[in-house]
Amino acid sequence: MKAKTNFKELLLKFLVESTLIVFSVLFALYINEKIDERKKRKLKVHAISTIRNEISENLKIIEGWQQKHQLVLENVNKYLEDESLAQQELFVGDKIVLENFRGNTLAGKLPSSTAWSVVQQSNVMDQFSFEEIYLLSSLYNIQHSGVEASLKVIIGIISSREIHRR
Amino acid sequence: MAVALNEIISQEQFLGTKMKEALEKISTSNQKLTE
Repeated sequence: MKAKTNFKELLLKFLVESTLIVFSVLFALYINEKIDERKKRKLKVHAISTIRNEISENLKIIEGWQQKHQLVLENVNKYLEDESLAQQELFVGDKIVLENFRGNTLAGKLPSSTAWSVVQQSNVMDQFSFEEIYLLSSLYNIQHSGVEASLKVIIGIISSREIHRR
Repeated sequence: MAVALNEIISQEQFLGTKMKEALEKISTSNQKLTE
């Protein structure tokens, strides 16, 4: 009878201790998961704020380009309408003075995509939702394949031999 | 040249609009994260 009671006590003790061990392990895992989640959340906040700064800077650059290109377009149209004015203002001898119609440079500062590239290669990327990734990928794609590519075409036209001939 | 410039100006306008939209959206998600 006594042996049966001891066995029951032992079994109960074993069950309580096992439950405690399992619970502690699960609790530790839960805490670990929460700490990890919090770290990743902090990293995402940092990543988003870096990308936001980059886009704000790029927006300033693009708005500057837009104003400048508008002025250049006005100059081009002015010279297209009055060829004698073009001959007079654009050429010194046989050489064209590009500065007279485009200023010192056509683009100046270039928009950057460093922050987005860094985020894409880091493990914080899995914290971004599908919508966020889609939004940012499309934006940087328009920046690269649209505006930057067209600017290269214009620079190509300006640098071409035909443009420099009287 | 004028055609190419017109093209790039409209691309810049489009990109500018997209940038403003993206800024608005990521600011909202950043706000949600910091709440």
